[in-house]
Amino acid sequence: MTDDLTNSDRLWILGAFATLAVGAVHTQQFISDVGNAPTIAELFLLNGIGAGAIVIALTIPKLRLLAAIGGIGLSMGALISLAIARFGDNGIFDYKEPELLRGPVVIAILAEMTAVGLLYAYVVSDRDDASSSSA
Amino acid sequence: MNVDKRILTTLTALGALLIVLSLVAIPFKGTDAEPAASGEAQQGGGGGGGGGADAVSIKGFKYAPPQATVKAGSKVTFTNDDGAPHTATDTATGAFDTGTLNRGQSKAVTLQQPGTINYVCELHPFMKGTLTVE
Repeated sequence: MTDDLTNSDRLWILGAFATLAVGAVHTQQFISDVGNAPTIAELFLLNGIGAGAIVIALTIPKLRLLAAIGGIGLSMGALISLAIARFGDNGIFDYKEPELLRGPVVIAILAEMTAVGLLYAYVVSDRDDASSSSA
Repeated sequence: MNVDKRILTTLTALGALLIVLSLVAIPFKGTDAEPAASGEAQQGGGGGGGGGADAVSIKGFKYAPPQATVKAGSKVTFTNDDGAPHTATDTATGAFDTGTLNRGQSKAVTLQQPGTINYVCELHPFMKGTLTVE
């Protein structure tokens, strides 16, 4: 079924699954935990919706590169926000996260780092393919 | 770039499912975490009279009940029923501070001085509660 997949394809497909995990953990946390936290709740919800939209866009060849860049932005944004919540004096939007070793936080960090790594590698590989085919 | 249609279909379906679940979740946020109405703190077991144990639950990023009246000298037990860590801290007068409570942890504080105490969660200052000590 996947015999004719290129390395580039494998990267965006795995990146799409990692992005799904990023969105799923944010949606789950929105439902079970942060749904009543002002601003943070909306951001978690937008992360879930945005992740779903990015995954769908990744399946469309013409949108794939843009979606990959969007996926990197989504996960990087979540990682940076978490860092501010953990290490910022006032947290982010009045939200502090004192413990990075909570289950959902660990899953989110791993999924976000994986998504960033895979989608970045896809963007680089796509650019290399484009430059080699135009040479 | 010849990706199997089943992979594309699966990813599209999962992406759409995530969007739908996120939208469907909006009315359900915190539905299992509605705080009790304002009023007397819940009476705990073993207490009685002025030294009775009262309870405030922390759930859904809210104190339940958000306002409570207790007798001077009584103990108030704060229990974190949230996944996220919280505190209950009187930042104005320093009458009490539970410190960080993780999920399932409790801390009892004794309130001696009559008056009104406004407290917050130091980690999430939008969470506010009031204790009236009679």
